[in-house]
Amino acid sequence: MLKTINLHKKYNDFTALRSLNLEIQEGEIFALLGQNGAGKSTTINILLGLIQSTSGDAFINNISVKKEPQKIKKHLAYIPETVLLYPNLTGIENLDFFSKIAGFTYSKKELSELLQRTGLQEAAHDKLLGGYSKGMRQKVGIAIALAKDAKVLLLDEPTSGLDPIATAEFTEIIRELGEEGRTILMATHDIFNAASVATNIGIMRQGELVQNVPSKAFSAEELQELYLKTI
Amino acid sequence: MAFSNLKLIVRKTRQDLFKEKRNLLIAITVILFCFLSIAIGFTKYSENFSDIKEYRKEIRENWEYRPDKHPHRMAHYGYLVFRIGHPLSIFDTGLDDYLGNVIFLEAHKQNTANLSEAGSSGILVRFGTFSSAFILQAIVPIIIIFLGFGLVVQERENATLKILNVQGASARDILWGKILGLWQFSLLFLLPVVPVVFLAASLSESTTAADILMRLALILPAYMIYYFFFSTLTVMISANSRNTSASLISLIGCWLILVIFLPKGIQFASQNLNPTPSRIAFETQVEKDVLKVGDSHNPNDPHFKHIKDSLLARYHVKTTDELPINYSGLVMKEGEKISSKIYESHLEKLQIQYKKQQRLGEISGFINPVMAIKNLSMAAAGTDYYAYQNFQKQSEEYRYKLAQNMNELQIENISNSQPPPGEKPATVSNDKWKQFPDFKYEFTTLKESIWQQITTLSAVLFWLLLCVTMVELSAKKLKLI
Amino acid sequence: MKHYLYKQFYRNKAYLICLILLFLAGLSSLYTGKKFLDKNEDIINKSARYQKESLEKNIAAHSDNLGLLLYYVKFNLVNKTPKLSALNIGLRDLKPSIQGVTIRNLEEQKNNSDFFNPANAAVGNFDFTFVLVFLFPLVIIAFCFNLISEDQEKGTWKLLSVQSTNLLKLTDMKILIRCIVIIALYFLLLIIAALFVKIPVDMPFIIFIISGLLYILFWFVLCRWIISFQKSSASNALTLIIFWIGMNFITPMTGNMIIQKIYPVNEGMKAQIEQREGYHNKWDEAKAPTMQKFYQIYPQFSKYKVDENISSSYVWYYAMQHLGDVESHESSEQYHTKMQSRNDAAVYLGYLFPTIHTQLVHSQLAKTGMENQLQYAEGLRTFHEKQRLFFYPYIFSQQNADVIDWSKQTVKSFSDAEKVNLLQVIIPYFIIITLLTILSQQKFGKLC
Repeated sequence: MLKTINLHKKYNDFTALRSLNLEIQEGEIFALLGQNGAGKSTTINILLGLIQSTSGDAFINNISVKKEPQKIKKHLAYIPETVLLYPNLTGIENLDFFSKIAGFTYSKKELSELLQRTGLQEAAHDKLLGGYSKGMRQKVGIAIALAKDAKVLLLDEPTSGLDPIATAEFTEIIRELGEEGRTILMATHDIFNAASVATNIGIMRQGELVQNVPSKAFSAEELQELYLKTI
Repeated sequence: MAFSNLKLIVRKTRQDLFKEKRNLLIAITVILFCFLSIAIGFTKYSENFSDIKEYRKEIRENWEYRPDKHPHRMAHYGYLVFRIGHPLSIFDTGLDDYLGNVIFLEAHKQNTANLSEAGSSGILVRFGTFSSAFILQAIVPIIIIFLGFGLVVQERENATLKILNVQGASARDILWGKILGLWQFSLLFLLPVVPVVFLAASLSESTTAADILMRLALILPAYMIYYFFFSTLTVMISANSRNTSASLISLIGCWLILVIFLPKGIQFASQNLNPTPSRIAFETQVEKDVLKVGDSHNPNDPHFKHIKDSLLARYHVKTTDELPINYSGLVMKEGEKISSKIYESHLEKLQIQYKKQQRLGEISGFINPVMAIKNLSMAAAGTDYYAYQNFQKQSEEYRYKLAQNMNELQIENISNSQPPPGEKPATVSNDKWKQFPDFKYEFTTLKESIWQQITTLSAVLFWLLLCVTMVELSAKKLKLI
Repeated sequence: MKHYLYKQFYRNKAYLICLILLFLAGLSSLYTGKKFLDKNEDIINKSARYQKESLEKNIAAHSDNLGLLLYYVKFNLVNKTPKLSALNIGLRDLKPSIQGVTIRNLEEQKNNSDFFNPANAAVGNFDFTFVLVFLFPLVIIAFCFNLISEDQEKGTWKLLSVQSTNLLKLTDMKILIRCIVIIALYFLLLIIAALFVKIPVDMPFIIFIISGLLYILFWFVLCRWIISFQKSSASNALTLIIFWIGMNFITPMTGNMIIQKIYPVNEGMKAQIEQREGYHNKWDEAKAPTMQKFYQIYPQFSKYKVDENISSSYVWYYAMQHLGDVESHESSEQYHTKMQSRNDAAVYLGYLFPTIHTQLVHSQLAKTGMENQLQYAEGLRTFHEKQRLFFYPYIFSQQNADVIDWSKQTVKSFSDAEKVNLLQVIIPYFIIITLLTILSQQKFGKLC
């Protein structure tokens, strides 16, 4: 469960977030839409505990982000926009390393299964990450998030740069995770993808959440119209 | 959990460094250069040692087999003493090149130690001496900088830093992990060198293995702390730089300031704050002061006239020829005492100035760890200023003993009356020469050297504490994105 | 277009900071040099007074015993210190610029070192040559290392290669701007030096300036070659710093170590032992053979006979002193030859490495190098001989001190007349600059 209460972030004379109030329940997939600079990434960074909010607070499974920034990380998994990881390690070694940091030690078989679940062919598992395509790297990023088995997932533009097949594979995984009861917040530009998988849609403009609607209420085209009208 | 994250990051950092073939190549090159300098240093030291052994034997033989003569002649014949450096000069030449190697000890005169290696070399010697200590003090830090400048900033650019953090590694874990991983790799440059130094120094036979071991036991942890400082500096600046270029340039700037600019700046300041007189000014001043008190060679000198009168009165005689003791010997002894004392006091003033200059250098260890390690390394290797002062002191004590011994012989054995013309002047038998012992130079003990360098020792420990504090403080403010 | 390149240069704050720091370092070095020169001149000025006072005192004490008087009296010879030495202190902080000798044997006196703190000497001097040889290259590296790679990493290189037909000319233009700025700073510092230290603009100073200029050009051409490989900024910085460390530390140090090994100088100590034995042994020998040897060298003094049974005689004494020098002469000569060989070896090494070459050339021009020291030692020997031959007849004929005109015994100066060979200075620079230019031209051909 994820909640923000009057989350506010100001940089010198630029306000990135204005009194953001958001609540995402378990099993909910929330798609956050908005232009570049609207505040999507800022929101996610604050929720991750990477930057501090100027005022207001956020709660991950009822633990305050402001008061216990290290503790909330146990409950979070994150997939960044560009997954670069360590080019001098193989796909499986990267997964192993980051899982160990999170406190999980998996056998090679289990790691391989995790990678396969994301759609990464077995032949690529033992190749150095430096040789992977963008899509392949993204899949390793997803595997890291899956391996953590966290209740809350934060995704920052996860499908940007992915080909249609990879996007479809990814969307399927997200749907499964939602059905498992996880809380998912996804910042994205892909309105159609959002419409197909999300339970709720939020549109941000200049640091404010101006729309918060269930996705079932709209078709994809209607959603697009609403988006263009809002921003 | 947190501790195991730390271990994971330490291991990864270290393994990444070991994996790069280029890094191993650099390490091997550096170690080979160190070995080369130790090998050449060892041959130079052994050759020098055997040369000096021969010279000492020659000097001693010449002294013992001098024929019967007037003791005052022997006092002017004097003695030549040679300085032998501590065998650990193979590791850290310190001031060795600039120290004189031979002193001529004679009556009435204090000479300087002359014929330093630098004095016989040209401009090239001013570029510095090629010793393992130089490589370990100046070159390895810049290698640490090159290996580590991207450790944090590169991860930030690749966004792996924030993933590490989200996965549960705290900023503290990340910083300490990288510092310790880098530090452990840097030990690769240091650890192989130490046993080779021990071997080379022990083979030289000029001091005990225990002495060498104790000194190395001080050198090793000192350099380990020194590399810990540079690892910390590298990771700290990496963590606080906007991009990898900025990190590299800032670190190179730090290296330049610490290794090149500050030492020269401190030297310049210390020379100007505590100026010392030139040789000619010094000698003139001493000459003036000696003449003020009394000139032993001048029979009409008032000071000595006073002594003469009191002696004449005591023995109830009219002229010095009638005295039962050798008057000129006595005069000589008194003169020696006076000139020695005056020279000593002037020399002490000079030494105080040098000491003040030294103190400034030692205190600068608190603002520059490079100075601290340089001073500590020199002290432990027995090539610092204090060890040299000790040699000068021992030589001067021997000289004074020699001169006074000869004066005693003159007073006791030479008759006071002038020999009639045509007769040879009075002499003393030459087995008296054998009775005067040879000059035995004792190396400064480690305890004494360290006691002199307490400030430096504290400075090294200070930097250790400062590093730990800085990392802990920095961890709170680490920019993860 | 060109003025945009200028704008890009001076709007870069990092560059300005570098230039200011370099300028301040240059000023500090000039201050150091001036202080050194002042101290030197002070010592030399005072020495005239010291010598006069010392003479007067000793004459008063021993006017009737000329032999004893000259036992004590020291005569000073100054090694002329040109104003240029403020820019390159060289060996003058180790070796005294003024030495005083009695007419007793020379070998015992000539190695008397000056008083200096070895810890300070070991650190080296912060003079202008140091700033030029060590610090200027760093600023040049900072200016040039990312000329191409910065654009490549920012992504503007591709744009430039499309917009411009001649990328080589553009890059060279950038290098030229930086070169002009550095050379301007160089000349600014030299002008300040000339005014502040009052250096005469004579041939040595001009050659000094030219050599520094060529050194700066060498570094620019080296940077040009390295960046032509089109590696990353970090890689270029690494390579150039390795060159800097290699040429300023590793090579001179290793070279010096090897030279010291090839030409060991234990002759100095041997000479000292031989001189001492040579002189003192004579006290126990018969006087006749000693005097015979002395008369052979100086037949003009054979009229001063020494009676075998006399207990002391100044004729005999000074003959013994001189023979001490004669017996150690060979070792002494060998010592000097070895030092000369050491210096020659360093000069040859300098032909390959401009850092060493610049240091050696500058110290040669400023008369602060080994060549000057060896010349001075020779001058001291000649001076010593002159003094001896002047005083011998008066001592031997046992005259009173009054007959000598002491006012003529002032402090004398030695001037090193060696001329520097201009070609020998310039050619090594030209060879290496040409070589690097050719290499970088080859690489640049592949730029577009």
